Amino acid sequence: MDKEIKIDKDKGPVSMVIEMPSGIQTMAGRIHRYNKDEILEKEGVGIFSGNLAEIPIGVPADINEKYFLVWGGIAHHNDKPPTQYQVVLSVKQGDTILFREIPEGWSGQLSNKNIPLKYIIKTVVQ
Amino acid sequence: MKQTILFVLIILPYLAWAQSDKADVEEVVNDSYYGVPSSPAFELLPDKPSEVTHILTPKDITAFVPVTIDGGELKSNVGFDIRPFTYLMGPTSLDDYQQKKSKQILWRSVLSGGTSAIKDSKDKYLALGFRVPIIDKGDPRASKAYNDDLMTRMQSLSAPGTLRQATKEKLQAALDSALDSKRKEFIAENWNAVRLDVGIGNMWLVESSKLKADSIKQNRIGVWAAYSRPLGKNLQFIVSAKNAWIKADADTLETSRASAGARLRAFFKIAAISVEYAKVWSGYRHENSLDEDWDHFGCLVEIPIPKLKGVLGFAYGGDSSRREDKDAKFEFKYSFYADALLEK
Repeated sequence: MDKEIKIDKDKGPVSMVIEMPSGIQTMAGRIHRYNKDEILEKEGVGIFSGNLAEIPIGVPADINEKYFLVWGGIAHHNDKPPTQYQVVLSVKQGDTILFREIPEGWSGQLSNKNIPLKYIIKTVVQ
Repeated sequence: MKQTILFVLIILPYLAWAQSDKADVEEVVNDSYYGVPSSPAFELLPDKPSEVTHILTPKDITAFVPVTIDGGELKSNVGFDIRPFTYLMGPTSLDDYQQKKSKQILWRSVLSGGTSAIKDSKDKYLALGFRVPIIDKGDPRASKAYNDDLMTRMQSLSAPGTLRQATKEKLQAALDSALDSKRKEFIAENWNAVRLDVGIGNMWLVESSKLKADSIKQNRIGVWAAYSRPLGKNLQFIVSAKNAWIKADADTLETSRASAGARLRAFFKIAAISVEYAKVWSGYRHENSLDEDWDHFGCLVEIPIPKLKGVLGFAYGGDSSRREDKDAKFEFKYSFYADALLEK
């Protein structure tokens, strides 16, 4: 698990945002949900891509003590010279940003190797 | 079977006599006549920089400067490349890129620079070059259908059963497996797509390696243009021209070199073939009687031999003789090597 996110039980639905600020890269993937024993509970809570950044993951009552796995990547195009990629991950509840960062390995040079985008968050309702 | 043995027995003495290594075979097909170099600056320098920094962020610039300049003196054999317009384009999405040809040209343009030492001298060469792929119908980013397919593949990766199984290594393997076959298919379909490239480069002599206005002297400038197009699925036709103007200190030194050529490349299951011809003109502005021209011809046939994990390459070609190289001639060469010289 990479990050535990505390959610307010009264503040409405939660979503994840996976965005590329300057996005001329081919990025896509899916988010999967796991139960508190870390076993797959729902395959494909939502999909993301360069055009589709915000993915609703549920309301607080349904996602207490759940894990969410970001599982996707960036396809390379044999860039010579290499090009830059940078992906920002955020978790929002309503308009409030609960968490925002560029995870390790989510920025760098893209040349002739596909880039995996993997991250696990745990949601805990307060 | 008998015919094969007979063929080998007849050809073997000749092959043994003419056997060369891969570099000799490669020399016959001369890439410098065909196409715009990926880094025009490096093409002008006598030695390609050994250390090239890919500048992608402002931080890369601050890291590169000390590598290149030390106390006002230029270091040798260092280089950089950068896509300068990506910073001027502003936030651009893949969709935007696919719809606007101007953004595609800006994104693909590359500025490069480098330095090179001069033997037994404190002077150094400094070069800058710019390459603009104006048309590239095989640009993978520009194809909406291809990118949509890649994205669908990434969105279809199976979920690991448990989080313990969700490792980065597993994701990398799944990504490679999902994407690489589609990429190969795209390259096979677009390897000979229409392309038009132009390039320009300039080289200066930096006296005593001092980066001061009065120490930097013009040396040569080069321009390149190349156009390629498909001839059916298996053939590619390339026409190319280049010219270099050279500043000469003596009347007997070359002041320009131009070339124009064409190359035909073909890929079949049993062999890959490249046939090329170029005409080269060498000019002496101060002494026109020294002007000369010569021909270059090259033909390479590569036969893959999967059982031996390599290719057998047969080449015939070279340059016609001239005043500056009286020994130049057309020769037959062959060699067996692991990695093919001709690639899509």
